[in-house]
Amino acid sequence: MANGQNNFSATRLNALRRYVPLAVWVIVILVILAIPLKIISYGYLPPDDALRHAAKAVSGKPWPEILVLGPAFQIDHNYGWHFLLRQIYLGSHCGTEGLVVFAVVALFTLVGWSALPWLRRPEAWLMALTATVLTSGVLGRLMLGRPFLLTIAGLLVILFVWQARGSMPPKWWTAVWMAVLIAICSFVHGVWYLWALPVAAFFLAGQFRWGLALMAGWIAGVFLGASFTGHPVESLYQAVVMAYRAFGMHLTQRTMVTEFRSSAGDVFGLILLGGLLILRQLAGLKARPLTTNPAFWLAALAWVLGFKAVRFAADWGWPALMVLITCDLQLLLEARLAADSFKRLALAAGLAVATFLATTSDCDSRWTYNLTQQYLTPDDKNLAGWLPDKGGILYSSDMAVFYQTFFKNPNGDWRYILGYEPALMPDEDFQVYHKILWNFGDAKAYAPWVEKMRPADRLVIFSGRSNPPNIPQLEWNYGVSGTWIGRLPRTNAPAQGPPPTIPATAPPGATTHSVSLPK
Amino acid sequence: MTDDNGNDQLSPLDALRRYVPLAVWVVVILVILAIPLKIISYGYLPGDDALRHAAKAVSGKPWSEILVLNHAYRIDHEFGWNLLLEKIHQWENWDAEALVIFSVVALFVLAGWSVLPWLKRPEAWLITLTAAMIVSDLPQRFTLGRPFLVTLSVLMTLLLWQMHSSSSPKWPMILLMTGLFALSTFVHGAWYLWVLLIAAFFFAGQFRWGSALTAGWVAGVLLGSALTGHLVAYPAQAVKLALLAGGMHPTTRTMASELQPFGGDVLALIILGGLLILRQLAKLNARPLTATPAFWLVCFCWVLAFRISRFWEDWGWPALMVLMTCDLQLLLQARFAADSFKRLGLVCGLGAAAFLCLTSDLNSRWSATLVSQYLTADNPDLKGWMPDKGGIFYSADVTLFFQTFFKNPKGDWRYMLGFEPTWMPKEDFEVYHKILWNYGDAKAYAPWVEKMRPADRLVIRGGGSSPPNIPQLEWNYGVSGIWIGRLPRTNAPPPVPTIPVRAPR
Repeated sequence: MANGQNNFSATRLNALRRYVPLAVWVIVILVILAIPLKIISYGYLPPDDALRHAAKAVSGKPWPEILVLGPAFQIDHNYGWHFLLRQIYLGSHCGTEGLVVFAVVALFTLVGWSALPWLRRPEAWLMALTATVLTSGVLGRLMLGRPFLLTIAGLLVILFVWQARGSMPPKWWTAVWMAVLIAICSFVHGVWYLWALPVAAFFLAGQFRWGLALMAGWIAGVFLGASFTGHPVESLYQAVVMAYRAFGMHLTQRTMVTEFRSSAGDVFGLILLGGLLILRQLAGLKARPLTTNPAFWLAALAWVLGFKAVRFAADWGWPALMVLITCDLQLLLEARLAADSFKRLALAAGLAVATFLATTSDCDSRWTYNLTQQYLTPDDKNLAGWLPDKGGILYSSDMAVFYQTFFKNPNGDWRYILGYEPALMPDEDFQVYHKILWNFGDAKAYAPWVEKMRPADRLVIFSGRSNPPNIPQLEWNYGVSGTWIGRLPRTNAPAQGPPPTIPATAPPGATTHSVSLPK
Repeated sequence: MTDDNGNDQLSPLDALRRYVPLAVWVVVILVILAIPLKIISYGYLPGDDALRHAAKAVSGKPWSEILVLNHAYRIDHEFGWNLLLEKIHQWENWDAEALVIFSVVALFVLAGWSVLPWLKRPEAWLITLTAAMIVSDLPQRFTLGRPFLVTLSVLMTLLLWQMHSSSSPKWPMILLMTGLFALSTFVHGAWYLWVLLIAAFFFAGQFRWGSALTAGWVAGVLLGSALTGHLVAYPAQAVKLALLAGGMHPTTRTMASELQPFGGDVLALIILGGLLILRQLAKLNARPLTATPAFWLVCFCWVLAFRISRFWEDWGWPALMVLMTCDLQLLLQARFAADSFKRLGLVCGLGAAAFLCLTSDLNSRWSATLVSQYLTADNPDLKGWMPDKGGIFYSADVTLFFQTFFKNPKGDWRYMLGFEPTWMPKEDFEVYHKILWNYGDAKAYAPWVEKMRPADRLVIRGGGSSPPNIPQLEWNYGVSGIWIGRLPRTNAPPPVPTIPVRAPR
């Protein structure tokens, strides 16, 4: 009797085994979707470009009406992304915050899901994701809601397809779908030239046919994507010029945006790679040699180039390393666990919990840092008269001022001297900006901007409450926490309210060091 | 050398080999004892709870006479530890500092020695301690002099006991487990966390041990609670307090640092990976990890620490240390004879390394408190600036409570913020939370300033250049880095404050 019951239970359990692979897929798909939703639920907003993309979509204005631009800027280099956000805005009338939430969730999910169709064991991707989250800052980048994530998704698709089908020569339609993929990436993201890296990686790995297919797809895709902007040649040319200016106009890395500065070498990435080699040996994995794997060469190329600009490592190297990790772990899982075993289901569930907690944990307030953020908005009564007037210019040497203020005031009828890339400014303003950063924000370096300020303009400086910036030519208001707003004095009478800490006469020379010029 | 009968003659050194194991034990035991003594000799004092435990013992007062508490806190949740220190104070007349030194040394030694009875190669534990110190600073928690170290010692004892034992637990062992659980509950209070260990045993397939632990846990918790005189209320309050501590903060930033999430502790994972490689390369005859409760405890705590880092520090890392020690012991057994002089040489080297590694005053970790300045009633500069009788000491910095109570255990005032913010009255917790939410903005103190009486004081850490921007109070730069505010003793109107404070969402 007992034996019969046991057999019945075993049979029922065996009948359930066929659902294990499906259950694993459901778990992996849902956990990848749940991660950005949980993070957004904290109130998280990315700090940079996602804000200005959303604000631009709401404003409906071209960049020359938003920023004070130099002649180098001709065409919106995130044309496709802004077009998409604008259509969503017009269709839904959601505000800038809604668009940012959409960008963060959609782009993270896109990257997270882009690996799955090519995997037999999707739980390996969760392991790779967790390992990457723990050893690098990649998770922060995956939550930025910026269109470069589309390029990462495209890269992952190409690398994973090769891992799955690379043993066969590419078909003619391989180049076609690659062209379509790269066209979308170029249209949305703009930096078409960086696709040279994966092309080179395929050739270095000796995968010449696939390399040729990718190169053909790249060339065709780039022109196709550029054609969608209506400027097939100019947009490509401008992307190169902008990259050249963004790097070439700075004398030292210190004054560049942080993601253009150099990497320190990313030791944990190397440790992970070393761990993979040991795993291959000890577990006897029948993995393709690293030297014939384009993902390995891309990781190696990007690691080296990371010493020039950290974005190579972050946006190209780490995704390639994640592909390597996933494929080796997939081999390990296939060797150790049957596809329909309950142990596999338990492992996938445990991995899902670990991945979810590792990514959504609010360690060091990484997802809630912005909750105490205060913005400059015209509906703040304390700021009446302190935001730029119509046609005015908002001067600042901190890009966060632009991101936050444009995000909250997409329809503000003023322009920003500093936008999302300093190299877009007129050259003379760039020189002022550069001098300010060169001198670590010394108030005297603002002098050229202060001299040309008009009554409609404002100068915004992040600083503590204790003293206003040492620029006595302007009157100052401690607008919101940590932010001073300066404007030209409106009367000849002495300033109202409490006397300023710094006398409004000539700056006392002894209080600041003189501004040194960068050599 | 050969004698007339052709037998090999033993050299004098060979005769000494039998003393090698004894010498190893002596070295290990002494090194573990010497470490806290050396650290204490720097003048080290822990930064947190050890100070208030000692001060409470000296004060002889219940928490309700020391802190302004809400209704949730009724029973001392570390009943046994505070009772022990109080008795020591009564018997030996030790002051608060002596009690802290006792706590630090005794609890470090307890944790350090608790694993030794189960080891054949105690030097493996020295290697583990050194590795843990290098990659995590975990042994620094061993010097905090807090009663959680009793729980940690019991945890490591149980894990090693099971790994050492090949048989199922017998009744006497279950009774001993009961005693250990009772001790932990009586002294530390956080009885509910033992469920992690029990789950780890079941996940490892150690069902008999798991069942025995469950029985010992239930009996031990009841026994430990009964010893406090509150059989039901004591464990019930522990759960309630834990829920309060974890549940009242909208974001983790405003929580106590050890209740905030961790970043994943990659180096610990690398150590775990290293153990796997070691097992393979050295062909260690180790129990599979999945059949080892310590491994499962490591896994659980690593995942849970993404919510609260203490899971990892107090439960995960000790379990990892047990795993490391057992594997290293197997390696040492395979490589060195028990009585070889090479082993003795290795142990001496390891002893020196462990001692220097743990006692090195890197980044002033053991001597940072030497420059601490305390608010004390006998400081003439502070005359009139300490709270008056029946007053309340307001502060949003928990270290000010630890330090001031430590130096003034008999002070006849109460502290608004004690060792756990969520035990304040709710309206005061909201003020405290708003202060932290606004990164200490002076305006967030307004509700406290409004209800301050002449006997009360508000204490804020800050540089000497300017007093806190709370002009309703008069301020004294009491000791270095600390401002004390009190209601003005004149009727002059205060100047107007400037910056609005943003309420938390």
